[in-house]
Amino acid sequence: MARSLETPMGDQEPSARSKLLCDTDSLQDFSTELESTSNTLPQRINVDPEKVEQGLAQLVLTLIELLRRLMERQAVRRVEAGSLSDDEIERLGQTFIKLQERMDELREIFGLEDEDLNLNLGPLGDLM
Amino acid sequence: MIYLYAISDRVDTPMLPSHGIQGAAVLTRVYRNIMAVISPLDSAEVEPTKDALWRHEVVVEALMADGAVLPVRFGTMLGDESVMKATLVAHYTQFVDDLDRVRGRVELGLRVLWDEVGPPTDGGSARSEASSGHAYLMDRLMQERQVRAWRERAHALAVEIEKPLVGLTVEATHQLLVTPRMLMTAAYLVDAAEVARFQQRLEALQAVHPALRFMCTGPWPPYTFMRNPVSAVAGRDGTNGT
Amino acid sequence: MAMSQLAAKEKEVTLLDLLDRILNKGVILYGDVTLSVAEVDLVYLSLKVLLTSVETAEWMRRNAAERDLMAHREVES
Repeated sequence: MARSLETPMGDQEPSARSKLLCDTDSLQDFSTELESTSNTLPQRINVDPEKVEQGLAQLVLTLIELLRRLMERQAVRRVEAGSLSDDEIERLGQTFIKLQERMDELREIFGLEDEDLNLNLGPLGDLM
Repeated sequence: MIYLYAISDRVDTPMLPSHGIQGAAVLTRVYRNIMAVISPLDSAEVEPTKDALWRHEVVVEALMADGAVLPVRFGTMLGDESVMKATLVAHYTQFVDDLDRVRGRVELGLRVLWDEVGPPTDGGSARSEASSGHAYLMDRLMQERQVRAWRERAHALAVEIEKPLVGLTVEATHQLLVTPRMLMTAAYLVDAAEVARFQQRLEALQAVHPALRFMCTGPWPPYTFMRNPVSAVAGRDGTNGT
Repeated sequence: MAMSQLAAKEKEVTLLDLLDRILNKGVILYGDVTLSVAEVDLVYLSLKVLLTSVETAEWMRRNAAERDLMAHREVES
């Protein structure tokens, strides 16, 4: 049987000893960055019926936006590698221009801003 | 249901908080020379509130005080005592190996901020007003190159930062640019006896890099250095997802 | 910043730092295990675990390649 520490039911944080090992003046900056990273739980999905549709649109459009960026990136790499003809480059570019316009339209229809669709891929951005 | 906090080698009687998650009793279940630390709960849902998170952490840290501990992810629940026992049996060898691996060691976290916010991080998020397909792709290419150069600078800086630190670490992981301002996010498994020296080297680093901001936290239980046991309990032989 | 404000900030940052560890890492059991955090959050958690794992794997792979290269050079010289 384990011996027990009586812990007060209130403040459960372990000893006043801080977990910060080195002084920093930038606590607020770190706090801001930590909150905005994907390392914290996101807000619960809004279940307000009016917002649900917009929430789903946001999810779908974010995924489409992700694919669009992926494809653009692939095209750019092939341009760099020199494996596309001038004609192909022009046609690909035009397609992407149209895609960008289409995305703008869709966003407007659902009242979403650029930032709403911004998927910060962090370290994964490098791998795509 | 059984809430699982951690696996420990302190099969004698460590000092543990009497109450944990949802005020439930904190109990131990020994199997050979390892031990699961648990709380029996009525509900199947545990909300990750500040209070619940700290309660979990307090239990794990009490175990870390004098022995090796394998912290379990928050919110892990097992059906009942028999599943609990089966888990200990199924993963016994790996648990013992991991306990050996982390004995006498702690986790230190390091985050570094820099001011090179860089170009739009994932490319394609800055609009191109080009009207010809060719010009559009050239715009994108230029952006791509800027992003690459930016990431390379981050990588080079991270390597420089880690040079004086890796000698003191048993294991290390890091991620770059989780946000544009967070140059690196790292975790280090360090011998408890080396923590002070690690701190000193960090202070030296801060002096060498006045434009960077360093935040070091710990000592933490070794959450980041756990390996996920492949489940044998449910009879599956799937990959462990990592 | 006043002392009490500073202390509060420290607690906040420490909690955020802890969150990352305790929700995404630690021993992760599969099989006959229920993760008692609500379903929706589970999806986000899985994605984050994946992101973390991929990055770590990449870093280790790169490091392994460098070590191999060093070893190769030593053999040659």
